[in-house]
Amino acid sequence: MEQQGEPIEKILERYKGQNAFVVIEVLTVDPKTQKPLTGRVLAVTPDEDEAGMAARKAKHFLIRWVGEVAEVIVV
Amino acid sequence: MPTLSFDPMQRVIAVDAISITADGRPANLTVLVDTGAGQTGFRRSTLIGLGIDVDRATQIARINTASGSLSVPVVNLPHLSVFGTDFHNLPVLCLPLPPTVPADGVLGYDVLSRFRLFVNYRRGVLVAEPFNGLLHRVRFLWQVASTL
Repeated sequence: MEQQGEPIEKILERYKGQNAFVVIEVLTVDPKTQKPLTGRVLAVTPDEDEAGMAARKAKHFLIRWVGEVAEVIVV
Repeated sequence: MPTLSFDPMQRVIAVDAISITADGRPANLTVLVDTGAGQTGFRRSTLIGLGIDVDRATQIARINTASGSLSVPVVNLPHLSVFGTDFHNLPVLCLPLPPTVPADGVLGYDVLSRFRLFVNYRRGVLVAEPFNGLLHRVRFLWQVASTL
């Protein structure tokens, strides 16, 4: 169970609204789509550098923002 | 693969991409399709996670945004896979994206211009096929027809 980790959706739901980056080590992916399925949390931080450094420790990672999302986005 | 779905309620076109670090570690990314961007760019946390030393970038680019102009580092991304196509050693910008932008980066003209693109905003479907000859052209038209 530990090696399989938790479903990524469940992890993100748990931290939702914290205004932070959640750094996740991906443990399993969908073999067809390569979408990440399960993982474990490496860090939860609002600091971009810290999030990036935490991600360096993972063999396979993703970083998601779990805070407020802008209503209108102009990039 | 080059027919992708996105959530039209988000009011942006966010798609999945995969990047691989120089030492072979993959990262799952979410990128915005930004037809107004001249060059592809990623947020600082993503580039650092990919093992790139942003502060030691030797090239700086001046970019103009809706809120003014600023100088940003340009770094080499070892590998980016998007719309089923691989890009190697892609020069990308380190963008100060606000955290409230729900993406790791934006795809700009340098990447998007390699594809035929079709967007059905109402259905939340994007078709992207590379300019790779007749087969891809036919595939593009067939996929566009099936989204109408």
